[in-house]
Amino acid sequence: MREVQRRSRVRSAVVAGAVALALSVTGCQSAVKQQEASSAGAKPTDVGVLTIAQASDIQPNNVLAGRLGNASWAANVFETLTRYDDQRKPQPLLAKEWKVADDKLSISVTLREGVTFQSGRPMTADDVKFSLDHLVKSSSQVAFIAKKFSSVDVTGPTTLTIRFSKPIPNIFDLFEYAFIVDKDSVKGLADGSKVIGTGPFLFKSWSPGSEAQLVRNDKYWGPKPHLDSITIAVINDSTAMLNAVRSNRSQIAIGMNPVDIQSMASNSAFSVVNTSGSVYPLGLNLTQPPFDKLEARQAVNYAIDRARIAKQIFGAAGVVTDLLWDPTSPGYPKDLEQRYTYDPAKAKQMLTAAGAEGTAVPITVIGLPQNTSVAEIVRRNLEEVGLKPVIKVQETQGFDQIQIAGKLGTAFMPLHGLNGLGASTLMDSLPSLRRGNSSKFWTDEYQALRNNLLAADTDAAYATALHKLSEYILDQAFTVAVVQALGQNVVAKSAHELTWTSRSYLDAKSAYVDH
Amino acid sequence: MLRFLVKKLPSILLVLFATSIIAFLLPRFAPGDPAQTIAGPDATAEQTEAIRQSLGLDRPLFVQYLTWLGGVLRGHLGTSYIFNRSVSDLILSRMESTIELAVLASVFMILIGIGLGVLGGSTRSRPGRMAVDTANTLLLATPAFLVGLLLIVLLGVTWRLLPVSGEVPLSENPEIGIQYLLLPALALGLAHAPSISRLLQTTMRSTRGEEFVDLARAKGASPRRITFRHVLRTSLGAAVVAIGIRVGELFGGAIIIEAIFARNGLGQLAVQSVNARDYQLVQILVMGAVLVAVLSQLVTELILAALDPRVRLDA
Repeated sequence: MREVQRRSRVRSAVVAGAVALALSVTGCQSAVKQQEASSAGAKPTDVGVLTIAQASDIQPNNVLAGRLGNASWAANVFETLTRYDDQRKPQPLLAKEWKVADDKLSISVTLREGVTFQSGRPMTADDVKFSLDHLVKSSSQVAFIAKKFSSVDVTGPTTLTIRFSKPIPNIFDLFEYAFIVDKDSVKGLADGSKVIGTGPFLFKSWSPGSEAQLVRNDKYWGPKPHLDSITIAVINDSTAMLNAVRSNRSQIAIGMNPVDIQSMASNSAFSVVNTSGSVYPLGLNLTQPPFDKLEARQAVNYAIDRARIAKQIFGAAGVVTDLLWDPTSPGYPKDLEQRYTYDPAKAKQMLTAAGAEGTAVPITVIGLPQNTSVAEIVRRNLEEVGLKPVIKVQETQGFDQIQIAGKLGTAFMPLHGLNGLGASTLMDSLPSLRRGNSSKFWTDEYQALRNNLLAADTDAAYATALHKLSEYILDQAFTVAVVQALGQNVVAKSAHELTWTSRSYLDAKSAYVDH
Repeated sequence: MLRFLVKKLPSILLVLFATSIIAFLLPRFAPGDPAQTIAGPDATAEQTEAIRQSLGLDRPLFVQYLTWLGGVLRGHLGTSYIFNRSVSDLILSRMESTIELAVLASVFMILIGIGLGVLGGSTRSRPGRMAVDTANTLLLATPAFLVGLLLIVLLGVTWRLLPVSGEVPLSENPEIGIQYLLLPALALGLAHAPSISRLLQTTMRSTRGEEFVDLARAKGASPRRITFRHVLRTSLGAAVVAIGIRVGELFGGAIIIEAIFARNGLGQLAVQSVNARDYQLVQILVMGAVLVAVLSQLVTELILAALDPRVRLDA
């Protein structure tokens, strides 16, 4: 009898378990339906949640620097004085107007009135001064521009004048980067506990390495955003990111694997948005043979099959150019884009003339998938013309360390983000071009040409100066632009009115989502 | 039992001390450091050095080690270099995800492992044994990530029955949370189960030839009673040891399954902290994983003693 009762209890437990499992799958609430419904919002005026999947974690402590992890949220919480339009002309944002002095040694800025921080405190010129001072101490790529200021004078609650000893033509690159932070809560940026800006969304929470949430700022000075909230999910794994987008959990994927981007591009429910990209240079060290000889460096330029690399590795995102500048940036010397055509016979001849044939060339390569793929083709190209290249892959951290120490060796392949910056900024922010570069290249002529670019006071003069500088860099061939690749974000067609700034940051104040 | 635990204490402390040295030194052997991560790839040497000094990474190694160990002994696990948050908060925020996944995966693993093991160790018919062996071999040959991907494609993309990306804590919404949990837990459970079932199946088959089983059969005990009361109980020892090891692994964080289902457990935190060279976090996670493994071994020994009277804890 006891045995029968026991069996009956076991059966009941099994049935109850199965029912519970079935209920959890088919029960009142479905997690799948909840995920789909969370993005519902048929009209722009409706509410909705935008979910973004991104490979890198957000970095509130580095909000003043250009970081991929901050592209999804920073421009929604913070705002800058100005913002570039599609033509890269600065447009008012927190600055209502500005005037560059006739001697180009100062700029007077008038701020928009009635702007408050999300804490409720009015934003003033003191906050702008504080933010610019803060930027100087940060690891921002444009900190060097702010270091050129001789003073930032607050002349009124909403007016200030920035003075410099030499003209700073790229000051709007700085303005594009310089988020205005709340001086009362700036310490909270270090751990993300208090992140307060003037933007259309409030920074609600951040679980490091996992998720961040923004909610609508109902007191925003501009038109009210449509979205209720933005959820940022940090997904490092490429398969998981693909799953997140395919299963409709996320409407945007930032940092998706290029192979997956190509597969999503053929999916009618998604589109691929091109953003400011990256350049893949091959640096050549002038202090080590064979690249101490100019002819050998130029030969490398002729040896590289750029078109093949762009097509084979980056597909539609690949850009074939010999230059390190963003092709959409002002003054871009398009006629120099194909200065070196692929000519292995000529390269071989030049290497023989330089006595460099058969020389071993160790190439230090940053261990990112695309970099190593590019490096493999470069290796083959160099082998074909008679060099003996050896690839040495370094993990990102290790590469960065020796890059900063200037010890990358004979040849090296880093990766540089262009971050929507103009040439006059890139020449000082890119490790391959700036003073102390790993190629150990610096000449008086190079310095003079850089100075000329900074001194150019008209668009035409700037274009001419950039042309001369680019020509010189190409001639000296201390760094070889192997290929450029556009940044690509996958966006579901259910997400509308998304704006991407010139530095590829998302502005979702007009965005809405539907099915 | 208390005497057993007291006797084990010195060896546990020694293991933890050795682990603390390894956990401290190992991440520092890798190129790069947290200052490099914070400064970014385009930083200048001055920017990076300023960060390095502010983090105290310019101090001698033994000073850094003693400072850290002293903090740990006082209950301060340190502050993450990268996230600027206390290590204990970061770990606690991921703990629920890992515990939920580990518990449900353990349940699946034990049910499937013991179920298949008992079936394989009991069935006398050739087709039945072949079926169990085939199932076991298939599961053994299929790694967890492949099981996970198959489940995602089948139940998350083709038939959208269950969510395949993200998570909702059970404490927040059990009804939704369990749906997020089912597939990753099943993938993990299925991947770990066959090693247990194989072990159990083999032991049960050899136990069936023992004299006490013949005696029970001669006394007229039913086949079911012989299997569960006599054969299974005495065969469970090896399976319990295997389960103990597996459960310890699961509680340490399931890196791959967490990654493909976009769950944010301790496994993912460990990966992120290693990639970012977040020494403080790596050190505590390694210590924690070793502690969990040691504790699961202790529990295994206690269970073994309870199952088999021949095993004496105090011996």
